[in-house]
Amino acid sequence: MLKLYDYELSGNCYKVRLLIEFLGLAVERIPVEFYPAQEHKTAWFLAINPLGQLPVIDDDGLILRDAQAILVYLASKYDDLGRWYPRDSAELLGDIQMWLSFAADLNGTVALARLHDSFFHDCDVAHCRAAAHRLFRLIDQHLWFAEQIGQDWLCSPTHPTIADIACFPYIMLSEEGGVSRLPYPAIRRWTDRVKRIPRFTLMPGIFFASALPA
Amino acid sequence: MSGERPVQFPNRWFPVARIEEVVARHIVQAQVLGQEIAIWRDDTGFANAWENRCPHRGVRLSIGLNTGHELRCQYHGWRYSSRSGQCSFIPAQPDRKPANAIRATTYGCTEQYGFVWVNLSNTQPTAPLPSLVGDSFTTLRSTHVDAPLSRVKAFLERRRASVTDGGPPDLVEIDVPMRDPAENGTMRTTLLMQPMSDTQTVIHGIVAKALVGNDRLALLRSHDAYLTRLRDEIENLARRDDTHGR
Repeated sequence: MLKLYDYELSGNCYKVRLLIEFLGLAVERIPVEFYPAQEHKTAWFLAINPLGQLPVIDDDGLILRDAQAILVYLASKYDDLGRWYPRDSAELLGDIQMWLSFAADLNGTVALARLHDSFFHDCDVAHCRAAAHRLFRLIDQHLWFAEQIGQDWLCSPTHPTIADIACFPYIMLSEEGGVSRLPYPAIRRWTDRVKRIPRFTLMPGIFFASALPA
Repeated sequence: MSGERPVQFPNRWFPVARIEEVVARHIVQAQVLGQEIAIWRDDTGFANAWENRCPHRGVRLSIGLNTGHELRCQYHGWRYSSRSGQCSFIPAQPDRKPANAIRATTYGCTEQYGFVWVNLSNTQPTAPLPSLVGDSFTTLRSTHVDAPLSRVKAFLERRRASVTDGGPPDLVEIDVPMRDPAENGTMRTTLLMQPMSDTQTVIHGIVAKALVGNDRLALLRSHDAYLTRLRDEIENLARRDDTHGR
């Protein structure tokens, strides 16, 4: 049984929970109380992940940390249709990796601003927000031009990939860190599309979008 | 409460979104003169522009649901009908018809020249739209600027652009350099100003030429690159001036 060390309010854990739902996988969620208990810094968890970070998976003894790495593994191993991480296309894999790294940049900016505002984390929040807006401008421009050629997703013209999953949570939760999406209409249309992926699931602070007309 | 407009807005039309960006079952979040607006299209194609504020508890309607004939507030599920903004259903009182006074604040909304335009004033008759282009045009990607309208216009005036002042809305004619030499160097472009607030502006753009396919994409990319550079310069100047207390 796939085990997921999980915190409900973590956007990074939510990335893994999203893919698990999309793939229809069975999972045992092991809660680790990030806040306020700081359980991720206790000895028993550091023995599992010395970086003291969530999420971590344990798939029959294979231990992986880092949400992006976990997405790559789960998609490669369990996506029979090979769409979430299409290993037969070098171009797509390169593109996906570009946006997985972008998701890591979001972690260090807009996610950090949310940690500051909602979890009392100490950081230069003004710097985080300014950096987040620079990233949002970039991804809004990318998504806008993708729409012009009929592409609804970050990387593939026809279907979402783990790049979309990796970038979605902290963009969707940006207002919890004081970053508004009002100036980014292409991002706002894309988040609606992600919410319409079959088996999309919620976390606190995220709501369903309207279904499209039949 | 609902229906009241304590602030008096000018009787003017402002572009707020490209027509094709107000997509089905979506709610566009926009802002004009400090007022947030929720723009949404019902399934008949009618475009609504409402104050982005549920009359119940003030929650943004833009985080709610566009069901194709009404907006549903995310907070308590109150429903507001397209066109009238009338509250049609309150889940906590499912057997009662909501009082007529409960309605979303609606603004004038029309579509022309590839843009959705909003008039926040309740003055009747509303001012006419400006006369822009003929039937052949291409709308550009809009550019968001972290600077007030006055700075944007001052910058463009220094660039020898032709600025029409105080008109509905502020228009700027500039010649944008084209990458393709076959285009004779520049493309005459009309920029339309949307004052979001005291600190932010959106620049919309339109060229009086209908392009398709790769030609259209090339134009969109080259203009976006140009306007993005313009935006960066305006913002750098604004930051520099703010540092020096100007």
